[in-house]
Amino acid sequence: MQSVTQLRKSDLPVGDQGASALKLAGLRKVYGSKVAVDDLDLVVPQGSFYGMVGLNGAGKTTTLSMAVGLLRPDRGTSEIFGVDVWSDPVQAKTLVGVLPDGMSMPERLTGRELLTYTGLLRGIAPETVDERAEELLSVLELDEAERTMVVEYSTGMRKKIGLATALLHGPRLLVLDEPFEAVDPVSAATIRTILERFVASGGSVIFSSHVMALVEKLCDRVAVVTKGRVVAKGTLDEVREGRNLEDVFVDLVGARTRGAEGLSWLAS
Amino acid sequence: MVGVLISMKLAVLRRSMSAGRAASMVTGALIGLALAVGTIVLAVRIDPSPISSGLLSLVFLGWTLGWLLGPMLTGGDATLRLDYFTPLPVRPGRLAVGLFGASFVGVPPVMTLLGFLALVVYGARYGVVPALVAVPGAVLLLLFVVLISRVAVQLLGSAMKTRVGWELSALLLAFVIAFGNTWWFMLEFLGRVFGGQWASTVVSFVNALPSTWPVLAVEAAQRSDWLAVGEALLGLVVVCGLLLAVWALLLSRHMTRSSSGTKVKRPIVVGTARRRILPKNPAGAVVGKEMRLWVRDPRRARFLRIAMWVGLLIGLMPLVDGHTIMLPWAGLVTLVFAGAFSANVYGLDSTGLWLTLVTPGVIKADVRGRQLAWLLMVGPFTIAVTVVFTAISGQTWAWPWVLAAVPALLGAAAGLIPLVSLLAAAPFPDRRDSNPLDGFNDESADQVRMQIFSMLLLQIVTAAPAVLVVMLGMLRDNAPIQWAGVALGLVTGVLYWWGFGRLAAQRLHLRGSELLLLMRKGARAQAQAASASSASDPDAAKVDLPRGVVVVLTLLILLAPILLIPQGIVALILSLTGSNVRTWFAALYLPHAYQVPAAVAFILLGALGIWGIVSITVRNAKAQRLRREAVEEEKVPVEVA
Repeated sequence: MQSVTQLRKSDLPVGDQGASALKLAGLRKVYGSKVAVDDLDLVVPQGSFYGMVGLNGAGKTTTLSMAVGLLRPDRGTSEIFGVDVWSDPVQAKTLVGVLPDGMSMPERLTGRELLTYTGLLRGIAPETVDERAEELLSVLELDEAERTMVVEYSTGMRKKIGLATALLHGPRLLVLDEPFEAVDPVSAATIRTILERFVASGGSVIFSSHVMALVEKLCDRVAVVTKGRVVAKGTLDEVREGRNLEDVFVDLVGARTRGAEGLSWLAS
Repeated sequence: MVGVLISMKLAVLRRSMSAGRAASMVTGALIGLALAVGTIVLAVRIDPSPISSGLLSLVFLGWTLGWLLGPMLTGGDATLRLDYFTPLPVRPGRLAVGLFGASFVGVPPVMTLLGFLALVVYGARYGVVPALVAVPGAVLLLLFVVLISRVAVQLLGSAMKTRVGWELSALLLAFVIAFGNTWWFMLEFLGRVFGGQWASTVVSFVNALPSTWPVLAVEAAQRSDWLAVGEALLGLVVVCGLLLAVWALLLSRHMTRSSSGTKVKRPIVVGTARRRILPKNPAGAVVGKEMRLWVRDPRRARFLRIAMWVGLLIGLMPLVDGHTIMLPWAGLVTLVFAGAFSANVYGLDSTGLWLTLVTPGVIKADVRGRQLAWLLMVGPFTIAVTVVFTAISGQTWAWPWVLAAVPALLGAAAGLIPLVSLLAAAPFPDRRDSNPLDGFNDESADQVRMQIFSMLLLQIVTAAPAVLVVMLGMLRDNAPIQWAGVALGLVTGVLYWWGFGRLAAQRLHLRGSELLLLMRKGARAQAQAASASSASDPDAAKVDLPRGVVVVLTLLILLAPILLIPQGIVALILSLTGSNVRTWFAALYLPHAYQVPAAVAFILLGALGIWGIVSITVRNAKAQRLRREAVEEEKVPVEVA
C-alpha cells in the first residue's frame, strides 16, 4: 500500500499546482424535457475529502460523468487542477482517477489482466505495472480471485477492481460514483482506509453517496444536490449548522418521509 | 394468466417499437406473406391426388423446419423472458400454458396460420366435409409448430451450457446457413437419394411426421374413413399435449436453476505466452485484451466458430455430388461471415467503453489494436483454408480471384468492423448468466441484424474493384490483367484497413462520450431524448427516417446481395466455367448466348440496389447535418442570453 500512495508524488503529473482539484462552472445537461443538471457550480479544493449527497435521480452521476469527460455537457466547464477536461482531455485524464457506477468492464478478463492492460494503455512501464497491480490486488484483497473473470465478481469486488484501475496511474484527484454502494462492511472499511490515506498524503477525493453517516464520518466538505442543483455546500460544519447531516439533508431536499400511512393490509 | 401475459407482451412490444423494429417486422411480414400465399397458390394449382398430398406434406414439413430453425437464425422471440416470472408462485405447467398463449401474439403465427389455410383450400377441392376436417387440422398444425419451436429453443438453450452442446449448436446454425446457400448444388444428389430406392422409405418417413397428419386427415375424410380422421387429429392433439408437458418440464428446470451453471467454463491460463510475444505498449495491450475476449467471451467465440463452420460447410457440402467449384471460396465465406458477425465489436463491450475514455490518448491504439486482434483471429485460418482448398480443388482459374479477394476483404473487414460498430453501435452487455441464443433478443436485436446485413453488403462492395479487374482479365483471357487485379486487391486491402480504421478513430475521438451515453441508455431511449430535444444529441436523429423509407431500405439491403451475388456473380462464374448446375440461377435457364448478359443484368440490378441504399443513407446524413446546423444556429442566441 505504501508505494501506491507514494507513487503519486514520484511521478506527479503536471497541472496548475495552485488551482482547485476540481472546478465545475455552469454545468448543464438536458435529456429530452428533463433537466438533469441545472447550471451547477462546485469547487473541490486540493487535499479535501468531498462528499456529494442527493436523492436518487438528483443528477449526481450525470454531474460526475461530465466532470471527468465521460459525458459531454450541453454547456459549462470542468477543470481538473486548472486543466479543462474538454479542451485538454489527455492532460486532465492523467491527473484524475475515475470509478463510474454500474458500468461494464472488459468482463472476460481477470482482475490482474484488467490492471495490466489498463496500465500498459496508460503508457506505464511494464515492470511498474506488474508491481502496482500485485500490490493493489493484495491490498484490495482481490489476489485470491486470481483466476476469476470480472464477470464473475460480486458487486463489492467490482467496486474494488474499479477502484484499483482508478488508482493504478497515481492520480492526484479521485472522482468516485457511489464507491460504497452494495459493498459489504469489510470491503467498505478497506476502501475507506485507502481513501483516507490517499487524502492524508495530499490527494483529493470527491465521491457521491446517499449514506449520510458515512459522509459525516469521512468528509471534510459536503455538497447537497437536488434536482440538478447544489442547494448547500461548504465544510461539513457549515452545512450541518450543529444538527445532524441527515436532518439537514431531508429539510434541504424538501422531501417528506413516507411509510407511516396506508398499507393497512400488510401483515394484518 | 394467458390474458395477462398477452397484454404484457403487447405492452412491451408497443413500448419497444422503433423505426428499425417496424421495418424488420414489415419485412418479416412481407416474407411470411409471400410464403403463405405461395402455399395457398400451390393448394389451388395442384389437382387433388395422393402425389399432390405428398407435395403439400413436404411444404408443411418445410414450415415446421422453418419454425424449428428460424429462431436460431433470427434470435427468436423473447419479449417475455422466463426470468421475469421466476419469483412468482406459479406452477410451471400454468406458466407454460400462459407463455404458449402469448407466443401467438406476433407476425409469424399469423402468417403461418394464413399459410396453413392452404389445407382448407386443398380440402375444399375434395368437398365440403374434407374442408371442414381441414379447419381443426390447420389450427392443430399451428399449435404443433409453435410448440415444437419453443421446446427446441429451450432444449438448445440448455444444451449450450455444455461444451459439446455449445459446439453442436454453432455447427447446426452453420449448417442451416450453409445449406441455404448451397442446396442448389445438391438438388440432384438429394433427388437421386430420395427419388430412387429410398423413395418409399422417404414417403413413409414423411407420413410418420406429425406435420403430415392433418393432410392425412383430409385425405381420409375424402375416403369417409372416419377412424383414420380421428386417429390423425387426435394424434396431433396428443403430440401437442406431450410437447406442452415437455416444455413445462424444461421451464421448471430452468426456473429452479436459473442463476447458475449457464456458461461454458474454461480454465484461465495465467500469464500465457501471448503476453510475452506482444509488445508492451498501448496497442499491444489492446491486442492482448481483445484476443483474450475473442476466445473467452462466449458470444464472440460463438460468432467466430459459426463463421468458421459456414465457410467449411459451404466449401465442402457440394462435394457430396462431386462439385469442387465451391472449395476455393470457403475461406472467403468464413472471412465475410466473421466480418459481418463482428460488426458490433464496440457494442459487445457496452459501457466498458468508459475505460478507454478515461485513459488519455489511447483512442488510436484502441481502434488499431482491435483491428489487429481480429486479423490475427481470422486471417491465418482464412488464408490457410483458401490456399489448401483452392489447391486441392483443381480449379486453377480461381487463383487470381481468391488472391485478389482475400487481401481486399481482410483489409476491408478489419477496417469496417470498428467503423460500423461505432457508427451504429448496438449495446449488447455481457451478462453473467445469459443464454447465448438470447444474443439477438434485446432491444438492439434489429440493429444487430441490420448491422450484419449491411456489413455483408459493404464487404462485397469493397472487394468489387479488385474482383472486377480479375473478371475483366478472365473475360478477355488476359493473364496480366488478372494479376493486376490481385495487386489491386492487396493495395485496396491495405487502404481499407488504414482508411476505415482512421475514420473509426476519428469517430471515437469526436463522439466517444455520446457513444458511452448510448451504451448506458440504449439506442431507443437515446433516440427519444433526441427527438424531444434534438439539441442534446443531433446524432440520434437518424431514427427520424420515415418508416416507409426504412422499409424500402431494409428490402434493398435484403435483396441487393441476392441479385448481386448468387443471381449475378455466381451465375456468371457458373456460365463462364460451363457448369451444368442450374437450379435457382435464373440466368442459367436461358440459352447459352443470353446467360452472360442476363447474369450481368442481375449484377447491374444488384449494384443499382446498393446505389439506392448508399444514396438514401447519404441523403439522410445530409439532412441530419443540415438539421444539426439549424439547431446549433438556434442555440447560439440562447447561450448569449
